[in-house]
Amino acid sequence: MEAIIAPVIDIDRERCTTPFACKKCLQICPTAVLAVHETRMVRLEETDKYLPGTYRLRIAYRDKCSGCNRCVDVCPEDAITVRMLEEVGA
Amino acid sequence: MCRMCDSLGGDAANPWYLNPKNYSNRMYKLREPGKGPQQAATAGAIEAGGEAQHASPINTAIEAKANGDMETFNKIIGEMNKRAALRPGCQVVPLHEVMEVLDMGMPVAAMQCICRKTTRGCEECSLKEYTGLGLGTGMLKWERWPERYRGKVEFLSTKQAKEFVEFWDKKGFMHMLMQEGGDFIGGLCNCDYPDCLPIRQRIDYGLTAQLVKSEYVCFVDWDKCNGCGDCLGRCDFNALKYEATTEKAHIDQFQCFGCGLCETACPRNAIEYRDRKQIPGLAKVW
Ligand code: SF4
Ligand code: SF4
Ligand code: SF4
Ligand code: SF4
Ligand code: SF4
Repeated sequence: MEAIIAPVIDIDRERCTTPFACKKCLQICPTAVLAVHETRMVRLEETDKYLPGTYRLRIAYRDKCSGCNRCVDVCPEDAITVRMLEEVGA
Repeated sequence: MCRMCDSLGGDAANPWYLNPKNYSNRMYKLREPGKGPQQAATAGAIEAGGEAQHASPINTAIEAKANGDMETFNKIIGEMNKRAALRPGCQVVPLHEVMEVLDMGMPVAAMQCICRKTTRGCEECSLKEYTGLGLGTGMLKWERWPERYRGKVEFLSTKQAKEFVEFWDKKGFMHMLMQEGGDFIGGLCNCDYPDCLPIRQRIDYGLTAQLVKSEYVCFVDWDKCNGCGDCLGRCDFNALKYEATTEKAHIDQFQCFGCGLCETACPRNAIEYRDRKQIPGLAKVW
C-alpha cells in the first residue's frame, strides 16, 4: 500500500492570537485535526481567553488532514495555510 | 476475565468496576498532595508554552504517519502498546452498569470535559454544560489537581448523577470509566468520536489498551427489529449499519465495543447484550 502523505499546515500565530475565543477552525474541521491549549494556568482560574497569547492553536492530528481547506476559508485572520508537499517544494 | 479485572480485583460475576474497593481512599493515597507525576510534568511545560509540551511518543508517531513513514509509526505504537498492556486505561461501560456504579454511593462530581475543550473549543462552565464526572473519595480533594479540574466541580447526589448520565446517553454520548493503571479511578466520561482522546487513540492509532471494550457485545434480535433506524448514527465504533438486504439493523461483532448506545435508542428492545467472555471467538477481543 502506498503511504499517504498529509498536507502541511501552517499557523501564523502573529495573526491567530486568541484561538479559544475564535475557535472557528476547530469547529469546522471534519476530522478535528486542530487543537487548542492554554499556555498559562493561573491556579484554579481559567485564563482570559480574550487576552492574546493565553491559548495556542496546535496541529494535533495532521495525518487526518485531507486538505479540504475549510479551516482556511473560515479563518477571519487568514492565519492558516494548507499545502501539499510538492507546493512546499520539498 | 480481561486484564483490567486481573489487576483490579474483578471476577466472572462482577467486573472490576463493580468492586467497591476500587473507589475507596486506598486508591488515592498513592498520590501525595502536589506531587502527582502529571502535575510536575505539565506545570513546567505549560509555563514554557512551547512545543516541548507536546513532544510525546504518540505525537511523534502521528507526525511520522502524516509524513508517510509507517515504519516509525508502527514501531512507536508497538512500543506504546507493550508498555500500556500492563497499565490499561479506560474501559467502555454500558448505561445499566453505570447506574450500578453510581449506586455504590461514593462522592460524584460533574466537571468539564477536557477533550472537547481541546479539539472543538467547547466551554463547559456550569452544571448544564458539564459532560464529565469525577468519582470516588478522591473528589473531596479535587483542588489538589487544578490542572485536571480547571477550577470548578459540582457535587451531585446519586439521583442527580443518574439523571446526568441518562441525559448525555440520550444525546448520544457513550460512557467509559477512566482509571490510571490501577492507581485510582479517575472518572466517568461521556464521550464521542472524534473529540474524545481515548476513542481516537484506539480507533485511529491502534493504541489498544487506551480504551478497552466493554464486557459485552451487542446483538440485534432480527425478530424484533423492524429496521426503523432509530439506533443508526449512535455508534462511535463503525460497528452498526442498516443492512439493506435484510432491512434490519446490523452489528459487526468484532467492531462492537459493547457501549450499548444502540440499545438505549431502540424503541423495540431489539438489541441485546451478550457477555463477551462467553463467546469463544470474542472472549479475547478487548
Ligand atoms: S479560525 Fe483562524 S483566527 Fe480563528 S482560531 Fe482558527 S486560526 Fe485562529
Ligand atoms: S484542510 Fe480540512 S481537514 Fe485539513 S485541517 Fe483544514 S479543515 Fe481540517
Ligand atoms: S474522555 Fe470523554 S468526557 Fe473525558 S475528557 Fe475526554 S471526551 Fe471528555
Ligand atoms: S454496535 Fe451498539 S453497542 Fe456496539 S459499539 Fe456500536 S453503538 Fe455500541
Ligand atoms: S432502533 Fe431497534 S428496531 Fe429500530 S432499526 Fe435499530 S435495532 Fe431495529
